[in-house]
Amino acid sequence: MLETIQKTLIEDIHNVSRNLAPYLDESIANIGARIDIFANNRKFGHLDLLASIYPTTKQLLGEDFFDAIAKDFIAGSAQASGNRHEYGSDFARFLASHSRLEKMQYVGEVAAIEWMQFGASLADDAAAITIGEIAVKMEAGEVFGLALHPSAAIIECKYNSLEIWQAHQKLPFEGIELQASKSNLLCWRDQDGEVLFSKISDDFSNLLLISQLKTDFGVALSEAILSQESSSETTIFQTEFAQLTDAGIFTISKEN
Amino acid sequence: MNSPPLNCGIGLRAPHVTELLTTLPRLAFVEVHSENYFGGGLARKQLLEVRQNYQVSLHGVGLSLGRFDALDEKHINSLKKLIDDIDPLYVSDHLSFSNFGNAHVPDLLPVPLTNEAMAAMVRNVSKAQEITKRRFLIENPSNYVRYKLADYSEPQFLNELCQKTDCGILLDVNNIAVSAHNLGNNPREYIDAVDAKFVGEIHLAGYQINQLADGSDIIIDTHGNKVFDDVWALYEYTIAKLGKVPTLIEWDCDIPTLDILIAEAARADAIANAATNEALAYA
Repeated sequence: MLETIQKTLIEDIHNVSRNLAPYLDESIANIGARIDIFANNRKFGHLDLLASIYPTTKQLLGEDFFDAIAKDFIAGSAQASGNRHEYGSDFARFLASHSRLEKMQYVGEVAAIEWMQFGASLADDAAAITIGEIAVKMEAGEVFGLALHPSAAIIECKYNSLEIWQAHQKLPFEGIELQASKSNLLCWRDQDGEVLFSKISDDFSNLLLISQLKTDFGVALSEAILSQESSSETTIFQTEFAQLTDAGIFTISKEN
Repeated sequence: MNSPPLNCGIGLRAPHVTELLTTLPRLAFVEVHSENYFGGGLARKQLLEVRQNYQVSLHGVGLSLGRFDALDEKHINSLKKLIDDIDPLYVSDHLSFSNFGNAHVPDLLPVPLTNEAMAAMVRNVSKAQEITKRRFLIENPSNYVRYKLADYSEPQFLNELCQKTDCGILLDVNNIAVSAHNLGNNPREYIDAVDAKFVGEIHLAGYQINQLADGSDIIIDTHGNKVFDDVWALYEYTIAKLGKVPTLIEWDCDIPTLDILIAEAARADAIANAATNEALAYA
């Protein structure tokens, strides 16, 4: 009976149905309105949460349009865990595939940037490793692996979405022109707690994506360096690797 | 001369953290929502800094202790990690559930007060205490509906849960007032039925009165106002019955300035002092 009651109430909250009523004391009036309290807590709680995670997306869409689209999303997306901060990770994908936003694809990208920023700010702590520390370990013949810092994430953009997002962080907003501009965008939190963004090369992006798949990072790194067609490309790649490593994007992998 | 330490604390929310750390007002403890600190970064760092200056209580809103099935391992392990880092004064959550399978809600839903629900709560509270190695305080929820099935009254349920699991009660006096209004119960009878030895903490908060379609009132537990007079009166009654209990002011929406929250905590402290002095005078 407990399982049935819990299933029924959760369904009532999500589907605006009122199937819990037979299990409730009917001497208490207005049962429908009382279940509405739970349904509204869910709807408006999630709406507030999305608005707090995606303020620039809301600015781009306008309050009413954002609310309408967010309510569509909420209607079809349950909170998957007891930690409400995990809710809304699919919102950017939802916006990117929404028929009413077909001509505003950059909005989905801006939302993805906002989710990366939010996720990076809350991700688990982990000590980052520097190029100097890597060199010391290698000189000592230590066997070790690298993994992306828990705060790090990458997305591929087709527009100048990072610049659009950055322009909206400044007051007053001075306007920015939309441009088609392909880039790989890396976001992470540095050791001082600041969330940073960097555009990265295709080769470096591929390397990071491989490391996310938890394959052998050392092998992937060697292959990435060897795949450079000229010594100048190799130098550029190594410089990018060194700079971003010192900026705190890698940690020692526990699996190695 | 400094005033004596307050017996009361406040719910600490993000807008007040910097001011609290700068001004360090005298408070018995502060309480945070555990789930807000499951990750790392600036929030966790600030909480550790708060902990260096205050006792901190961890109040959960997402563990879903009343669920019919087993606890979410990821959630309880995140809580354990936070507890290990913070060494909190109290750890608490609710007599409620929040999910079915992978569908969770940001709310504290009522469990039927049946033997079956008791078995589920006993299993989940025991597991949570075993994993975290901490005694939990379980808070009475605010109620808007009542199930037909019931083997216990709510205070009986909480008392027995404490006996079976060695947990304690976080008595939310505002929730008692809210539920009593919404379900037509007597709030003082509720207080009378609670076993004083189990009560480890009290919560006070403000509510909101909404009107239903038929013109009747329903009270919503919003934590968005000052504590109402009827709740202060019930608090006074509670302290007179139970003795002085560490008390917390909760305020979660339309959050006021820090000084207003501290003034509410000071009012609770004054009421508790007066009520216990009066009780001593009659002893």
